[in-house]
Amino acid sequence: MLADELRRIVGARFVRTARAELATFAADGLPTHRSTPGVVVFPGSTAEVCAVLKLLSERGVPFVARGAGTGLSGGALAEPSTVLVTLTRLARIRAIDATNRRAVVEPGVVNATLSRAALPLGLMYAPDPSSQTACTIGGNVAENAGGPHCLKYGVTTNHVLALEVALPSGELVRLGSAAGEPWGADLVGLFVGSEGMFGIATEITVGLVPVPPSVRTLLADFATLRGAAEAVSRIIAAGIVPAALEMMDQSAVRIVEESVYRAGYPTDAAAVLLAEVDGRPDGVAAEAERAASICRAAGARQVREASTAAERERLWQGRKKAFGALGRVSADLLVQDAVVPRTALPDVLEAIAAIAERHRLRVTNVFHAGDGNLHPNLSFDARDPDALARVEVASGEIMRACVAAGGTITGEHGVGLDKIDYMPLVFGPDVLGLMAAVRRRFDPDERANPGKVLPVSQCREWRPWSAT
Amino acid sequence: MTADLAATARTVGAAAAAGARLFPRGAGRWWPDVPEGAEVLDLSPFAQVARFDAADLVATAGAGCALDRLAVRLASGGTWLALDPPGPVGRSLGGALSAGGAGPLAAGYGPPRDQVLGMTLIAGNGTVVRIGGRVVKNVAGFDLAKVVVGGHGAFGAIVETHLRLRATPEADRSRAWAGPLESVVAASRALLEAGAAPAALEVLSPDLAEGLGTAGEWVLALRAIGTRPAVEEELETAALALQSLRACREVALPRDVWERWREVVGSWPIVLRIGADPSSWADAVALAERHLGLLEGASATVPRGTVRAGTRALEPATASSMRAEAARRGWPITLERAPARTRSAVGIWGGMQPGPLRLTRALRDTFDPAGVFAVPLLA
Ligand SMILES: Cc1cc2nc3c(=O)[nH]c(=O)nc-3n(C[C@H](O)[C@H](O)[C@H](O)COP(=O)(O)OP(=O)(O)OC[C@H]3O[C@@H](n4cnc5c(N)ncnc54)[C@H](O)[C@@H]3O)c2cc1C
Repeated sequence: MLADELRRIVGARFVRTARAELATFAADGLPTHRSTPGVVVFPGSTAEVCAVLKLLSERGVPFVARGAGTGLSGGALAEPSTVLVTLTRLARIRAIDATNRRAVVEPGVVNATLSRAALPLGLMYAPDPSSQTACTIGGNVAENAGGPHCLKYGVTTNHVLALEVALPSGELVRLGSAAGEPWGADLVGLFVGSEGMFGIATEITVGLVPVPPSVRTLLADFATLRGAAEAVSRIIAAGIVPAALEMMDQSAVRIVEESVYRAGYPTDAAAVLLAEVDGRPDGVAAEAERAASICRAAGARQVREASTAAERERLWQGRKKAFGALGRVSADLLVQDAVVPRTALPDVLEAIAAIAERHRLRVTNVFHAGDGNLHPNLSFDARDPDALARVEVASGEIMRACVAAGGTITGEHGVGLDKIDYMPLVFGPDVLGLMAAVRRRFDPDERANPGKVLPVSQCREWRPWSAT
Repeated sequence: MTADLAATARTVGAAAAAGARLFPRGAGRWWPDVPEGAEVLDLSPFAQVARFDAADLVATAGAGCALDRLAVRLASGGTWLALDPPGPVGRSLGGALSAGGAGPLAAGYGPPRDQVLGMTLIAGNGTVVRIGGRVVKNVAGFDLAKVVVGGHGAFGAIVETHLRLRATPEADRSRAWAGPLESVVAASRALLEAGAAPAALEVLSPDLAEGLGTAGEWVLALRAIGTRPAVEEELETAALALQSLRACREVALPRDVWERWREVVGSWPIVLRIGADPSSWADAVALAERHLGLLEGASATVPRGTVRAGTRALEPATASSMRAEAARRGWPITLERAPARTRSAVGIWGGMQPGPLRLTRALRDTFDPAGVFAVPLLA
């Protein structure tokens, strides 16, 4: 039996087949999809990952990699015919090289753990998803994760220098070079964001950035969403590159303020902006002053600056834990993800509000305004089939509105299972065909995370990628 | 010739079907000559800025746009593109992106691939594919643009690109310090350790420095871009850190030093790009000197560890022994610029492990199944 063969590789304790245990892995952070894997295996070394994949390759069995399972697009879900390869045992930081500002980590290292480890050396790992206390760097690589501070520092792909990857055949390959210069085609850049469909990242070399000597955090509150969105565009047009520029609408503010994560946000504001500038002290002071006056000119009722580290922490806690707070006000929460050009934010936010109203859904916006990355969150109860159906329809309409405004269907959570149907909104059949062909170069049998990202069955119009 | 996408795609498809070979060319300012037996695929007519959304800091520009003209257009809307590859300022956008040739600004803004949001590409089977999008964050589908940028034209002809722009900064200033090699090594290390995060931190070899109109010694040049107080502070902090080190003395830089850098480095007949480490750029320069003898010049982008070495001639045997030695240290060497003969004898890439080599070949076959693009990626 396959499970026995897997046990011989990783040890009996690290293979799970009992129904109750498998049920723990039937979902990720996306509430609309569930699927129970056939077997869950926890390799404890790179050699074990390779041996597991080799065995699965010989048996022709599909597999899905899994980190912490915090993904929001159903990417880490596996079917009963599929083996789930969970990487949480590979959680060592192998090296931190302060001189060259980089670290070598195993895929199961939790994002925040790396930054904590680098801090005494005056360095940090910049991509900071709101889930950073749980999600893994392997999962971040697969999704090309972002976070509030990615506005200034860039997303995961901008920080991954080199990779060691176990291909679906079990072969181990090293991609790129330690300092980030591609070695041949930019295979590292291609792998990041491939959602577990090219193989399993077993070692990741990431760049670290100096911890900024000075940070200033502002909270601006606005009587209108439009005013807040206008402030965002003006700050960036002024040549200020804030470390973060996050927006929360009134619904989000109220929910946070009613929760244990209370941050002292004004509950009567239509929207609040959390703006952070960092760098050297004089420059930061001047930029914070400028950003504050731009907010005021754009109609901010009040601009408050965090005066202590604790206050700053509190302002951020409200933002970073907003999803947690939202999760408590309804049975289920769909954290949507889309991107629009910054200047389209006010119109698109209005369109989203209208869509939610039409479908009798509560929508709450907590998002990375600086780069136009929206998170309209839909609260519902998945046990109510009608509500679930309305959520699906509203999500589709939101995606269409964002694409019509010149945007795209996902900025950081990935396509996974959730957004496959929307892929034809942004890509023609030729490029989808090319993506499938590229994937087969890594995974000829299409066994790595099957059924994700590419709308194979739905896109009948796909043109096979032919020689001429 | 007009910019006719369908017609150009048909040309590629027909050439692929006929077994002909095409050499994608923009302004013709980088690769000095056309490979034997290849026809030029002229992309220079695709020179329009089709869309410019200054407020969103995004522009859509044809591959044939000359970088200097594009810069003027972008500046008119209060924006700029953080792309400063070596080569004449009239070099085309598509050519610069194909070569993946980062300039000193890659230290602060990332390499060319980080400036590209999406593109229209004619693949080797004549199919037009639209990759990526026009927004700054986008994880829909696989990131195919990464292969094309820096793919030297072997994965398709870039026709149009969506670019990520920055707002025109309030201040853009540079300062430089000169001294013997060991002192400049120490100075570059000291700045990194002091947490410097400049727009550029470039080491110039003495001949290059002299060519740029500064001291004929090793020079460490620092460029800061941003708001005025932030720029002053970055430069001042660096100056203080170096003062206490007492290793180098401050030297003047001409106002147009960075434009000149592009011209001078771009005039080296053969340019090799070595992916060394920030702490070992000097070792990479030494490696280049050991194998190539007297260099035309060398330039190191310290925070990324990228070293460019210029030379007049390069024999295949020299290139392979140099690549073998670099590979032992984990450094790739890209042949960034050379006459066609040298390119095919040496290969643009080399010294690769079997896994990435196989994947690189397989990807090339996928994008260009008939091998229509005459680009000698590998010797
Ligand atoms: C409250 C909350 C807030 C969030 N905030 C953000 C945010 O701000 N920004 C953001 O980008 N995301 C955010 N997310 C989404 C999620 O945390 C990220 O997508 C994260 O990168 C997933 O990491 P993970 O370890 O949980 O991966 P998983 O969910 O386990 O897996 C995600 C995908 O990665 C693949 N994968 C995992 N490990 C590997 C590996 N080693 N090699 C290859 N493929 C692998 C899986 O197959 C799957 O397709 C948030 C999620 C939650 C629940």
